[in-house]
Amino acid sequence: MICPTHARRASVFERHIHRVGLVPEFVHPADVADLRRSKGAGRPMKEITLKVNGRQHLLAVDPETTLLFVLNDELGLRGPRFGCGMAQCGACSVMMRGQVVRSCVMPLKAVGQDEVTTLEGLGTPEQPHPIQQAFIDEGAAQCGFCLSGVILTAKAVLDVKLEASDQEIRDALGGVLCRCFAHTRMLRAIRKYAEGKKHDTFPA
Amino acid sequence: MTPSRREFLKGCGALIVSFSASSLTQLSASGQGEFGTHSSHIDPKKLDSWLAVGADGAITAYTGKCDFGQGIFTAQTQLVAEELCVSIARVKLIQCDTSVTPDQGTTSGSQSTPTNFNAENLALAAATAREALLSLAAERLGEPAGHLTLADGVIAGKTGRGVTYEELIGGKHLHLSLSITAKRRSAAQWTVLGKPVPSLDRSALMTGQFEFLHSIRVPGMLHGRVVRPPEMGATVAHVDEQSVRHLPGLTKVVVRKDFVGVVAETQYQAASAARQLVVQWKAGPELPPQKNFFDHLQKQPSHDVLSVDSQDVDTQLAAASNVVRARYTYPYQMHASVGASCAVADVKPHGATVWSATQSAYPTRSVVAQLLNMSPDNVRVIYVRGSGCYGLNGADAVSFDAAILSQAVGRPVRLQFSRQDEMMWENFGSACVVEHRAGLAPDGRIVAWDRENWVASLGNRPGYDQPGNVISGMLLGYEPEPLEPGASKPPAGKLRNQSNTVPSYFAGCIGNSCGGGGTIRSERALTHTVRSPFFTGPLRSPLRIQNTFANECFMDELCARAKADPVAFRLRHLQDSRTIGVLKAAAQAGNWQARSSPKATIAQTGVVSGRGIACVAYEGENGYAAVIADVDVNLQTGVVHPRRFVVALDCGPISNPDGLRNQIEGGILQGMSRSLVEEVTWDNRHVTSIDWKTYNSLHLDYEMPTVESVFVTPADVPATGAGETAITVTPAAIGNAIFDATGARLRDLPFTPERVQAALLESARRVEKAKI
Repeated sequence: MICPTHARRASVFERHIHRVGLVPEFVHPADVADLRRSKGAGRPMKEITLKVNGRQHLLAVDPETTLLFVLNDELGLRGPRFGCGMAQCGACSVMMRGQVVRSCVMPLKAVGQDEVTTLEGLGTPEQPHPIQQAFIDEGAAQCGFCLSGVILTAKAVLDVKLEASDQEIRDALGGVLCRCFAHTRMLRAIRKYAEGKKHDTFPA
Repeated sequence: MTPSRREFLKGCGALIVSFSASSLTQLSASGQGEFGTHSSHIDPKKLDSWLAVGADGAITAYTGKCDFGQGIFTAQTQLVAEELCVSIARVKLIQCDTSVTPDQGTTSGSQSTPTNFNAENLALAAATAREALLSLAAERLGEPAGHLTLADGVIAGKTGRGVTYEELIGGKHLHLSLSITAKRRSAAQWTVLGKPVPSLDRSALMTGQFEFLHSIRVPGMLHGRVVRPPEMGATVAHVDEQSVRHLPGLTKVVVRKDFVGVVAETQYQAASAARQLVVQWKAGPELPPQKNFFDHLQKQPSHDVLSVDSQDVDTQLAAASNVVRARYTYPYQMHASVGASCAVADVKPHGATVWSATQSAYPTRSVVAQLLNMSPDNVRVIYVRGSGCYGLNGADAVSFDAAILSQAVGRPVRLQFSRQDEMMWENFGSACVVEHRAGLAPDGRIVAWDRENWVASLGNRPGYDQPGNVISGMLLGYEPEPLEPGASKPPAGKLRNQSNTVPSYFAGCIGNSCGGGGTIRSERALTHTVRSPFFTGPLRSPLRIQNTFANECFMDELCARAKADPVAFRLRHLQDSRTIGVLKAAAQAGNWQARSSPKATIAQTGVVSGRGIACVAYEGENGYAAVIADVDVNLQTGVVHPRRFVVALDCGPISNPDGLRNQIEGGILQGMSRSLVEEVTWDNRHVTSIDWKTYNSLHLDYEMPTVESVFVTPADVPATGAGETAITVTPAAIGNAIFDATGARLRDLPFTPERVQAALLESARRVEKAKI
C-alpha cells in the first residue's frame, strides 16, 4: 500500500508531465453548462498539440474533453481547479489571447493553437508576477481555492485598461466567487497592482 | 501498515533523558473529544507524539488541528517556534494524519485555539520540550538551568559555551510525558507568537503551486463519480448497467444498497458515465411546502430541552406593564464551498489510505473502517486542504464514497463530486424559528423574558461511528443518529449555552448557580429539536448565528419599545465584564451617538441610512464580539446595502493579529451574504438550490463595505476561539440598522428586497394607524 511519509510525499505525488498516449478514448464533455446535452459515445482519440505556460505538449486525447481535465490530469497543473464544472464560479479560469476563459466547459478542440496561461504561468513563488506579489503582500486569500479566477480576471481587465475604475474592476469580477469572502483584501491587492503598474514600479 | 512516525526516527537509539521525573505528571488531555475513548497509537500524553528534533535541528510538530484557510497552520507554527525559541523556518508542522498526529477529534467549533494555545496539548508539549532541552543542556554544560539562555535553537551558558538542540537530542526520541508544570512563555516575552506573521501558504497559493487535495494524484489511480438520488428518501429500484456498457474507459458501476457510483479511467469518462447511467428510483416522501415550512416545523413532534427556567415568567409577564412578542425565522443555508468536494482513496484487502479534506481525520478513519469492514488500525486518513469548508461540507461524504469505490475496484480512486452532488446533499445549516415574549417595567427595565425555539435537525457530523449522519451512510443503509421526541427535564447543573440559545441578558440561574451574562432573573429558554426533511450540520456558527440573530434583534425591539439607546439599554442588562468590554469598545471605535432607534425623522423616498449594534458571548464564554453596522436602504427597491462595519473582538491573547483580522473581515462579509441573499430552496420533492444560479452568494462584483476591527485583550485570560464570533453578530446588526434607518423590523432572514418592501409597507401602515 502507498503509505508515504510526509517527507517523501512530494515525490510520490510528483506531477506527471507529458503523459502522452496513456489515455484511451474520451466520450463527451463532462459538466458542461447544459447538463442534459448528450452526445454520442466513444469519440476517437486524437493527437493534439497544446501550448501551456510557454511549453508545447503533445497529447493523445479526445478533442471533446474539457481543457480543465487535461490541465489537471495530463499536465499536473494545480492552479486551475474544479469548482462547479458549469462556468459559474471562476475557479478553473485560465487565460487565452488575453481573455479569461473557463476551462471547465471548454472542449480541448476549441483551444486550437492558442497558448493557455494558468496561474502558474504568471510567476513562481521565487519570482511572482507583480499582481501575485500584490496578493501576497495583502494576504488576499483564506483558503485560496478561487484564486485563478480572481487574479487572472483582474489582470485581464487591467491589461486592457490600466485606468479601470473600482466599479469596472468589480464588474469584470462579476462571475467570480470567493466563499471565504476575502473580497476586501483582494480588491485592495488589485488596486495596489494597478497603482504600481501605473507608476511603472514593476519591471517590464 | 507501518506508521511512518516510526520510520521518521528509525535507526535512532532511544535516549532516556535524565530529567527530573518528579516534575512530570501524567496529564489527562482534554479539549475536544476524549482522547482516552478512541485508542490511537499516538499517545497524547507523550511529548514524542507532538514534537521531534531532527538530526539537522529542524523541529517537526504534529497537530490534530488543521488549516482550511483560517490560518491555524501559521499560528500553530508560530506557537511552536515561540516556545522553542527558534525561527518559524525551522518548524515543520504536520497536521491531521492518523499515522503521525495525535487524535484531536474535529477541527471545528472555534476550538483549535482554546485547545492548542493554552495550557494543554501542543502548547504544553512545546513548553515541555523547551524545559527538557534546557535540562539536558544544563547537564551537558555543567551549569544550572537558571543560568542558561536560549536563542535560535542554541542554549548558551554563562561561561560562553553553547549547545544546539540537535547536539542534545537531534534525531532521537525525548521519551517524556507532557509536564503539567511546564511554563509557557508569557505574552510579554513573545517575539514570534502574537505578531502579524504573513500566512505561510501565501506564495504557493498566489502562484498556483499550493497542493490542494484536488491536485493529489496517486499511481494507478482511477476516477469516480457518484449518481445520487433525485430526492431525499428515494431508493434504488433498478440500475441499468447496459446503459453505460458501451462507454470506453468504464471500469465498473458500483451499487451498494442505494449508493450508486461509477469508476472509469479518466475524469471525463467517469463524469460522462455518471450522467448517462440510467437508474430508476423509487420516489421518496413529499417535502413540506417551503411557503409555510416554519409553521410546519412548530407542529412537529420534538425533543425538548430547557436551558433555563425560573418558573415565574408567566406571572411576571402577566404583571408587566408592557409585553413585547416577536417571532423570528432563519432559513436553511449552505456551506456551499467554491470547490465541489473530492477525495482519493486507496483500498487494499488489508488496509486503506484516504486523502481527505475532512475536519475530522480520526473520526473519518473510524467510519471508513466501519464501511469497509476493517479495523481502524488498518486505515490511514491523511488530511489535505480542500476548498474552504466553513463546517461540514461534502468532505466527509466524499471520503466515504471514495473508499467504497476504491474497495469495489481494488485500485486507488479519486472521486470528484459534481456541483449538484455537493449542494443537494450537504448537511445544511439548520432552519430555525424563535419566539420571544418579554415584559418591560414602567422604567424600561426588562422584568421577564421567555424564549422558545424550534430547530430542524437531521444527521450531523458522522463522529466515530455514525455514517448515517451524512448522505453516504444513509444510502449505504445506516440511520442518522436518532431524535427521540420527548418533554424537557428541569435544567440541572451548570448553564450550558454552547448554541447561544440563552440571550446574553439572562442571569442564567440554575438553582443557586447563575452562569448567564446578564441580569434578567425571570427567564426561560426552551428548545424543540424537530426532525428535518434535509440533512443538517454545523455550518459556521451553528445555531449560534440563528439564535443570536433572534436574540439581538429582539433585544433591539425591547430597546425601541423602551425608547432607550441600544448601547445603554444593553449595558443596563449585562453583567459579564467581557461582553460589556466589547460593547463599549465597539461604541467608542464606531463613534456611537446615544439615541433611540429608529431615527427621529426618516425620509419618505430615496436611500436612507441607519446603524445597528449587536453583541455576543460566543458559546457563552468562547470569544466576545460586538459589531456596529451602517447600512443604506433603498425605500423604493427594498435593496439593503451595508456600508461599514466596526467590530470589537475579545479572544484573549491573539496569536496572529493579521490572521485574526482576515477572519473577522471574512466572517463579517460571509455573514452579510447570509443575511442578504442566502437561502436553500425546494419544491414539493427536490432541493432546487443546486448551483450558483439557484443558490445566491455575493460575488466579487458586490461593493463591499469597509470592516474596521479593534481588539480588547484583558490581562490573564485564556485564548478563546475567534473565527466565528464576528459572523455571529452580523445578521442582527444589519437587521437592527435597517430598523434604525426605516422603522421597519425584519424578522425573517435573508433580508431580500421583497421582504424589505413588505416590511416597509407594514411599518407605514402601522404609523398611519397610530396617527388615527
